[in-house]
Amino acid sequence: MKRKIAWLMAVLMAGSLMAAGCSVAEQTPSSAAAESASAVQVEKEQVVAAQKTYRVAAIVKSQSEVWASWLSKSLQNRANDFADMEITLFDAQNDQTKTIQYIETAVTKKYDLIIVQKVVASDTNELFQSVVNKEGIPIIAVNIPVDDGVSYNIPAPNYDLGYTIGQVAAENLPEHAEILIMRGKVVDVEQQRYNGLKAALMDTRPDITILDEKVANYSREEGMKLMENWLQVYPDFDGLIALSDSMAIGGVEACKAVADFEFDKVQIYGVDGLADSCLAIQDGKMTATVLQDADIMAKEAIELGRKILTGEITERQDIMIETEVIDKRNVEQYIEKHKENGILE
Amino acid sequence: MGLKKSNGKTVNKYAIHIVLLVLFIVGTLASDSFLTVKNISNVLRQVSVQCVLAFGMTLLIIGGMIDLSMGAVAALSGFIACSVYVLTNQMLLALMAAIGVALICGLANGIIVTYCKLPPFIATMGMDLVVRGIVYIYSDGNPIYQIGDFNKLSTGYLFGVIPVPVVVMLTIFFITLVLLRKTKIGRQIYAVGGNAEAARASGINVGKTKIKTYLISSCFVAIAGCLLMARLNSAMPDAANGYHADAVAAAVIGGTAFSGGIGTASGTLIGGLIVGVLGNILDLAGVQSYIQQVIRGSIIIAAVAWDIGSKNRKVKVVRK
Repeated sequence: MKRKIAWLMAVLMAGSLMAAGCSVAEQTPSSAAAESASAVQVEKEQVVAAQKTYRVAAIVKSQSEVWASWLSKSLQNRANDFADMEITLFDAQNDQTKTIQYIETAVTKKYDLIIVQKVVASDTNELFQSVVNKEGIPIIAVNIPVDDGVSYNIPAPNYDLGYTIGQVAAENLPEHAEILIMRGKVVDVEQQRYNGLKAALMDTRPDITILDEKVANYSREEGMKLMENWLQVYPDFDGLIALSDSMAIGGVEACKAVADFEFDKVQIYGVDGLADSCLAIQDGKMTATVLQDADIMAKEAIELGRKILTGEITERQDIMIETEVIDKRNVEQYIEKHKENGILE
Repeated sequence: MGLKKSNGKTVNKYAIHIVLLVLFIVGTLASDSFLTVKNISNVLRQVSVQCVLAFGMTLLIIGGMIDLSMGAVAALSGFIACSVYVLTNQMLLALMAAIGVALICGLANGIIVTYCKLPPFIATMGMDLVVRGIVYIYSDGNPIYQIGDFNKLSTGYLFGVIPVPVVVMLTIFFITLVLLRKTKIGRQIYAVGGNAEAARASGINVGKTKIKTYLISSCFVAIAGCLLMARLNSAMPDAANGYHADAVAAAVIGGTAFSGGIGTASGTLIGGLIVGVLGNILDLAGVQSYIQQVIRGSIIIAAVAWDIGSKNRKVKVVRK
């Protein structure tokens, strides 16, 4: 029985390899090796002009992370607005090696445009430059920018996100407030958020004391556990600033579990503008969050992509997204937006 | 010689209880917030999900099996429970749906292990990927944010004092305890794990026993999944990632041996508490999460090394 299963699996694997090989062979012209970049570009332009559909490969960081999942959904929605854009999603599952693998796949399958959300900010310049220059496929890097000189960037305004929420906190926190800070994974991207926060809050309000600062890995579960333990040591804290909404909500849940917890005596801040934090703000449990609008980022990416493909834009450029504070005053409109996007019922 | 032997045995038997006691003392000294009703209640709440999973894992490891898909199955069953609850507002129906889904996964695991004869490690590793994929497909990557009163499974109290998750954890503990000590299936699990051939020779249907073990464990996994989603106050498709590792840790620290045939419910309970209390002490003392991870891993290695070492000593004594 065991041997039969092993043979069956081997045959299946061999079969799928052959099928994949066949489809690659169909799509790759036999004289690929000797072609120069410009010849490829001319051929592509002619093909693109005659073609009705633009095939876009969208490689996202991880469908299982709420914000990234929001981004991928938005990319799909926005691409659907254009009849001649066909988008295929690839999930890198939080693994940069998969990102690279999917870029290579997109090249092999001759996509017209690659929109990529990298997992980490590590150096991919050589690969991207080769894809843009040699293969002639434009790349739009969303969320995490690249400085390879050839890719278009629509970066997450990480420093601004941190700075904006820091500003709101600086304006609202009482004198000599004692606050707790939840950080995500301590990597380059997160450090920018933190630097922004520091510049807007810690540097302008030296009277504020930071009771503790810990990593909760952008996870609601970890944020909740951390807050539960913090509530033992610092039950009279004045504010919690979490560098992502997922952790902030974890903090809110932990506070909810405390009998008679007075939410109006503390201020809780998050970053991202996710649906559940909007609900929490509406409910009076959170003070404010900063929107990192995945939908706008997706819209810009798709529209930019289209302009690149139709030749309207030829010069490499960056598009900056603005941040926006969501608090009690404007939370209703964002809840509506999340409902429209199908994230809330 | 005789006196030494019995002393050694006593120390070994109560080693983990002593460790837990030492941790309590360390905790009390390290922080005034430690030995408070609030904090202890928190710790018990925090470990309840992991402990319920650990009891299931204990049954499996005793039987010579393992389940690496626990996290994914917990997430799937918890997610389905929330979906059902949101539609029907019936807690019982939601729980039954969760258990139903988990039973199907457990049955799949059991059949693959028994009839396809795959090693449990590989079978459940594959199932982990499959089930996690199913959660994402079903949820479309989106959490269910508003689960209404489902979260009472986490925030509710029995008799106004004991948190519901703790009640659930203790209930599963007693079920595991009675099952292992007093029931036929319990004896069969020990036998199959200890020596499957001998068990078969003595008339035990090894295949059926293994499948039953996976089914029982799946019920626990479903309950853990519901507790987890209730605690998070939303159904998250990426929840319970890697939870099987903590379940194994609790079981192993509690004296469950990978060779099979050895393990107890109370050992696992203490093991789970040790992991939870340790994490709590480190949090209260302000130790960074990454350092905590190193410490947790080291404790697991140390616990297993001690366990193996003490078993070798027992064997040596018997030989003499």
